[in-house]
Amino acid sequence: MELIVEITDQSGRSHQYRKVAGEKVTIGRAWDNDLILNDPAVNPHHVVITQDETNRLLITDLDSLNGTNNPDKQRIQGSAPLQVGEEYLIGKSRICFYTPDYPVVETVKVADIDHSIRLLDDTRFLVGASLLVTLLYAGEQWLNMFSGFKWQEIANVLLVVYAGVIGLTLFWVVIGRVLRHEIQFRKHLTLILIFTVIQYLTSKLFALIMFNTLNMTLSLAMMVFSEFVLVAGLLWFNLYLATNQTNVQRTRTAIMIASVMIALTLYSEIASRAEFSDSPDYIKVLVPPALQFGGGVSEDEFLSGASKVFTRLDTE
Amino acid sequence: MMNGLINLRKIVACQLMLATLMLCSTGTLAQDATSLFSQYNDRIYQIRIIEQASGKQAALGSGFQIDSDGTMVTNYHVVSEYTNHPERYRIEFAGFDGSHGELALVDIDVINDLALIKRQDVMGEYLQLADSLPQQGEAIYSLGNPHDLGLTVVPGTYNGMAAYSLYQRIHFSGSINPGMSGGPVLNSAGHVIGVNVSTAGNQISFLVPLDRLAALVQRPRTGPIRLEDIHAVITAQLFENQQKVIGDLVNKEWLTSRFKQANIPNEIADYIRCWGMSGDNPDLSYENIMSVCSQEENIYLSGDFTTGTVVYQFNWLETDKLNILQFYNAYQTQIANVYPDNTAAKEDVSNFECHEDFHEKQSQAGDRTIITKGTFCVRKYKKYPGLYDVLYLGATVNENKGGLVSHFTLAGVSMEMAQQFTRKFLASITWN
Repeated sequence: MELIVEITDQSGRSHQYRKVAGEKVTIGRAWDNDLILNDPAVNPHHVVITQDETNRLLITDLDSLNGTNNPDKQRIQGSAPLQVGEEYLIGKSRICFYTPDYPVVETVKVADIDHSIRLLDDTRFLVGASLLVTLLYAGEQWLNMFSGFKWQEIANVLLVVYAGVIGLTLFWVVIGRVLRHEIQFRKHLTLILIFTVIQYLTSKLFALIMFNTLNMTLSLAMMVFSEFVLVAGLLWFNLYLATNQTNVQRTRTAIMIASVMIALTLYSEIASRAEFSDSPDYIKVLVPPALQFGGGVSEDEFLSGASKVFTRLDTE
Repeated sequence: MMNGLINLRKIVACQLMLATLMLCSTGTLAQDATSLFSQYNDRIYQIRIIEQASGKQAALGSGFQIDSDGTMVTNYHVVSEYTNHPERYRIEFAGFDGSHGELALVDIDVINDLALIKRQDVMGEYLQLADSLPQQGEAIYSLGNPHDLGLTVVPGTYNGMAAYSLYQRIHFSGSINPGMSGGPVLNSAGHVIGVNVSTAGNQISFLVPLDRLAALVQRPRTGPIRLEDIHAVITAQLFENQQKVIGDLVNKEWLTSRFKQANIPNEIADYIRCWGMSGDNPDLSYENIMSVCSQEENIYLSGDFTTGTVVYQFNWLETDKLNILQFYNAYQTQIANVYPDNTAAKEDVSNFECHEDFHEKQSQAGDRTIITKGTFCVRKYKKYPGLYDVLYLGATVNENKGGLVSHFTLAGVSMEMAQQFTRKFLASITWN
């Protein structure tokens, strides 16, 4: 008889596979066992697995103190047929038994993404991305200091940005730890830093587009779309790192969560527009001449555009 | 609004002296005041707006009878709760002798803040309107019921028409307090020369003059105003008023003055005053020069709805300390929070709808093009169709380290007047 024994830890993560062979397989804390368990709740000679004349595998509890629970969580009285591939509780140890002919799951093809994601472990990426984030946000703050330079304000902004980045990283690390029993702090951190940079740059790009087109609807639509792509992308990569989902499942989850988030944002935006407000809703961005696309219309043309507002209001 | 404060402080200093003078002279006035009080107190009433649901008073003012049919005069703002929601309130009077009863609304003049109301049971005693206004410096007597303390007579001085007053208010040097609104102001002969309307504090008060009152009283009418017509009547009055006020403004030659690189409209009518307020905050690394011009009287429509506002404001920003991006960030904060200069609530107006575009203009020398990001926003009046609040905000964007913010609010105007004013306003800004 040949058996493969899988020992699982308290959180369900399997950390050992052992192959044992013989007439019978004995399990316990004593050194003369075939499988030695380092678990104080296990008797020195706790369980034995034997084979009967019809080659059926039997599991027998040797009158142990804490007993042996079968996969249905019932305490085994004497002998019982062994359920292959199912989990037994011996003392406090969780153990599965397999026979060599037990089927294994299909091989997963390594996707190209795995190769690129390995790059996230590269220190240069982490350093580069955090330098960029620091530069962009410190620079932004510097450009908003109209009453003299203050280090303290720059420090404050960076503190807030990095608290956010690290908070989000820790969130994903915890998810990864729970779902995959892996901690990939550095990969999550690099990923989130890179997305922070992209997010910053797109927001600047949209401010530019917003100013130059002066088209609120178009700008909002573009912003919602890009926000959706960014959120879904960030989710996808983080899910990749933290869960065991297949590509299809992952894409679906990312799109679903991103849709819900965008829908909620849109809903609150629309709801706030419907509310009465004393202040008009207009584009509040100004960019210097070098970033402007073109000139303007005549004052007459502006006025004729303005008069359409009255008709729009009256047909409402 | 800050300029108003500065202004007030200036005026307060002079006013304190005036108050002391008045205290010295009350001795001689006392005689007249006593006789006026005892002679006419049966013609002056407290006007109460009673909430139907609770049966309790929601607003208090004063009023006086002006004919033998029982017609009384008060301020529009005293009865505005009733005119806005006639189904929720009723108007009552209470006499000095304890008499009281219900009143019906006869007519209103929202521009001059007047209302005519009528008692059902006719009684005889009433006040006569004077033939003419007194001489400046003459003693006049304001009567009313301040803070519900009982009928009070306040002697003071007639000081002519308030300067810079579009709607012609009498400047009365005496104290008018809440609750006295709508009460009469009598000359020494006991004839009405005006109606208490508002106060600027410290013995500065304003009265609706005789001619406005006489015009309302003599206006031909077939009968009391019908409740369903109140909004239409107010609409017509506001419409006619803005047609005249804004019409006059746009047909005028506008005085302009040099404002850094630009020329901007100055005091374009004698009731409009401009104030300079240049932010000399030493901490800021940019200069912000401001000119605010406004017509300082609003038309009261309800507790949270005023109209008739004309305000225009210019800011010139420039810097030699900031870089271009920093300057534009600073510039951006200047245009980020524009509000209309009148107040209105959800039940009064819609939300603003805006039109935004860049408009451009050549400098007078023709050597450069000035590009302005223009925002034109409009909200409509819900109860007074055809009237709008209009707001314009312009910011020039053709310079790296300088810019002009131009802004105006017109409250309660027609589309036609708004367009004419905007056209004139944009044309009046020229560049050197």
